[in-house]
Amino acid sequence: MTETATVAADRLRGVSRIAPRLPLAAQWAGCAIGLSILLISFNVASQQAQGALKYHLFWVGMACALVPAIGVACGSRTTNLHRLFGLVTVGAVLSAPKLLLALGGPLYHDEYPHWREVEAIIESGRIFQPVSIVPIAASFPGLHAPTAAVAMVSGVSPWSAAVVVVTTAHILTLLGVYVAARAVFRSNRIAAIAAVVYALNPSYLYFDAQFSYESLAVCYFVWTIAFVVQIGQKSVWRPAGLAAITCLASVCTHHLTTIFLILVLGIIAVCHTIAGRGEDRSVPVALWTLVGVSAAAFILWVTLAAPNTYTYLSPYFGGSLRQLLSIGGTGSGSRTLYAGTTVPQYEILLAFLTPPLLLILTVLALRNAISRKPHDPTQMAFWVLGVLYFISLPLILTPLGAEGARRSWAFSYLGLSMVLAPWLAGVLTNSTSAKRRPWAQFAMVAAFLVVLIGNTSAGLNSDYRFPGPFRFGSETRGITAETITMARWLKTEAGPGARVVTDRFTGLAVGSYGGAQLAVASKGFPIWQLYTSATQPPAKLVAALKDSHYKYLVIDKRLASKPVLGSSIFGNAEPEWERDPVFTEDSLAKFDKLPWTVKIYESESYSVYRFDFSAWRTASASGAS
Amino acid sequence: MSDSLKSDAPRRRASLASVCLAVSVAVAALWLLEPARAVLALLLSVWPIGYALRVAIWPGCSRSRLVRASTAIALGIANASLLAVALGATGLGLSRTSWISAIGVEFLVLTVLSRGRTIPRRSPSPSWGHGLSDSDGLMLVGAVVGALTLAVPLLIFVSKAPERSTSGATVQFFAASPTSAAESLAGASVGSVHPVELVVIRPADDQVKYAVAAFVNGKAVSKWTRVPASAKARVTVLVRLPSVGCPYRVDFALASRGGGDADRGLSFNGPTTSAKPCPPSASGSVLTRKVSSGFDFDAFDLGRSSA
Repeated sequence: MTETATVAADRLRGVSRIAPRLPLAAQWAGCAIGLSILLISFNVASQQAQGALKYHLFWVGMACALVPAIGVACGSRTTNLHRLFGLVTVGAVLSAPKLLLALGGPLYHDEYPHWREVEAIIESGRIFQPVSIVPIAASFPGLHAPTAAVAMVSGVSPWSAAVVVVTTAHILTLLGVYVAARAVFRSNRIAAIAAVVYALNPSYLYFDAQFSYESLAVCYFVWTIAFVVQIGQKSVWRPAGLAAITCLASVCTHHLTTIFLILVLGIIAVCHTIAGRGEDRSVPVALWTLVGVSAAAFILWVTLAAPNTYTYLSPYFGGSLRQLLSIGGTGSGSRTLYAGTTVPQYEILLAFLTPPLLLILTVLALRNAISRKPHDPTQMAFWVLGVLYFISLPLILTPLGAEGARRSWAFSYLGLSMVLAPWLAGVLTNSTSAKRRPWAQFAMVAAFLVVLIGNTSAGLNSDYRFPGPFRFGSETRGITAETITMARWLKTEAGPGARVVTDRFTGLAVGSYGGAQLAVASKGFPIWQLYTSATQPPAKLVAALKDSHYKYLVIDKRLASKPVLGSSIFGNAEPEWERDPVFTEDSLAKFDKLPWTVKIYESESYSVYRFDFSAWRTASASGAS
Repeated sequence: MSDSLKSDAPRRRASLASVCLAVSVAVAALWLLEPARAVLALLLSVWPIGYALRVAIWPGCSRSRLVRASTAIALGIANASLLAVALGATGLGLSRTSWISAIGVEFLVLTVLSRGRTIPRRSPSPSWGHGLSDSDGLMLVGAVVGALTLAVPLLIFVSKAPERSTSGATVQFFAASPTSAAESLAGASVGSVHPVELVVIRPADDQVKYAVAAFVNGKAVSKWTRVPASAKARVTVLVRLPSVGCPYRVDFALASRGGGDADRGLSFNGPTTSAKPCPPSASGSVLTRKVSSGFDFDAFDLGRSSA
């Protein structure tokens, strides 16, 4: 059905093209009230770490802001302009919590290296500037380079530019889903429902709203699919050309998204090759060309610009599969879901309820789809993509697979949204009875909220969702003004790029605000032995530090007094610690006495030492003699 | 074209001009506000190019203006990624100048490429004005916004003028570390020459020439040494230590050629040259301070000994 025909059909059904003013007013009022309640929940959270009040307020606020906007976006009497405005509002409301959490600077673990990379590009004018914390981030500058350009052109701080770029991409992702669904189903309403369903995915509210390369790449992923589904509709090669642009942008922005993109393009191409009877032959040719171009570009990029990609990703792919087989075989090595959590019981309940609910809805949608013929190859491809969500669920039980499974949901939810949207729209439209229709609408909005709450709860812990008082060992609440002052001082003292040894938590600030190159702990480079040894660290380790030109050591003195709550202190390679706090005061204070560590900075919680390896040589020589 | 459309044409042209004027005024006003500036910089960097890209490749992608607008922004952001990566990876470097120039050139090329491309219409529905299709009309707005994209940052750029001196946060000056500079002088004997490595970080497109020199207690003890033209330049200064008491102070001064001034000095308590050495950098403090007093930077000659 063409667009004109859709409009005509709407008119025949007596659907008014003029939006009622009441829902729009409700949308504005809902946003204002909802965001105010959201702010109150953050205020409560920042004052009291425990207690469920912040969760209740948060969800009440989100419901107030989202329900009217979803109503406008998915309503049957909404004009295109208001529908899109409703969708933009949904995207903006779902960007708000993360935006409010980190207005002043980076907050999440991955934000620090990406922000530092932007600063390094601004300082040097060159991409591929080495960055600590997540070294591979430097090899994919598709996010950092345009952010740096925006910061340079506008004169605002790199963080302001980062927030603007990522929020724009975040909202644009929803519009991409809308455009894709509109092209597939030729209905603005189904398209809007698909976009809202996509917005419920576990990553959308927080994870994909952070300043990270994946957040922008997901936008490219969605828009590539939006162009690809239009291949063969009005033109074959023109949409393919647009898809190639966003696809290439994805290649230089994020590794995992590009891999998923090539996979999904492959699925679409296979479906069109097998089931695309009667369609233009050039459609599968264009699709396979796109697959080939994307794959070739990605291989070229990881070969020439990002050769460490395979080393970075392989543990996740291979390791998660091995762990899953191990759980299946012996039942050992599995993760305990919600271990030590403080989230309220209803969130946990909804988190466990969400996958079965989605499965039931998908089965109902499948039954409906089977009865309709002929089958569109593009929709078949979305079915395959949607099913990947359910296949990935068991991986959440494995320590390595959980990360990969969570990342995959941003992509598989596109399939789910395309699968569920026409069925949901059908349920709403076919509820012809005036009495039943409001109940159907209520049930749909209630289901949306259930899935949103369940998915958000399953995706992130409390520290990532709410502000709160300082908590030692927390990635989001462990960095204080004292940490940042120390890191900035170190940058002034040593210059950017200084090689520094420190723990993982302090490293977030030292590697970003301090611009330092951090030592990466491994079995062959066990930097934790610097801390654990009572007197002299092993000579082999000191020699390795000297040979690798490490110049500074930053000690967080609280490591001897506060527990780190089961987090790793130096990374995955460190041993299992027998006690927490792991270190003693003596083991950290020894650096004051060692002849080859010169204290150059001290604050209440931090000591910074400069390595003087010439003194170590002298001391070890006199010791030997 | 129908008569009704013809009679509407002047009114539509006038409204189009009003829109362009309003956009221009709004852009100029909002540019002054800090948060809005980033939003504008992004939209102005991506929308005209994204729009031109869409029209050049697929003018009839959708009949919905909102879909076309969001498509243009998505394409514009993707283009921004590719363009910025290309600039950053090449010798041009990613700077304000290179970015504005690249966008300007790309926009002009795409405008030429997309000339004459119009959105297919089934009926002569009202458009932007006499003889103007939606495509042409929006392209006109795109041209205005594109011109602003170039003009506003250029105005700011010109009004601020390229920074000729080393003052401000754009140039950073380090010893590879200052303490290691002290270490490298620790074993120096009077009259011997010792290398000290320094790092100068500067804007990539900065054409100003820089030189560094070392001073002990205010007396030049090295030649002015040219800083290589690179974003992160390493320069080795050869220091010939004079006979002075213990402890003495070493200053490294950074000077700009043509800037007429120099600031940002690097000072530390140096090691001794007396028989019994003081520990290097005994105070542990490194001072970053102005050292412009006492040196006639207008007269210095790169490469010539100041001693």
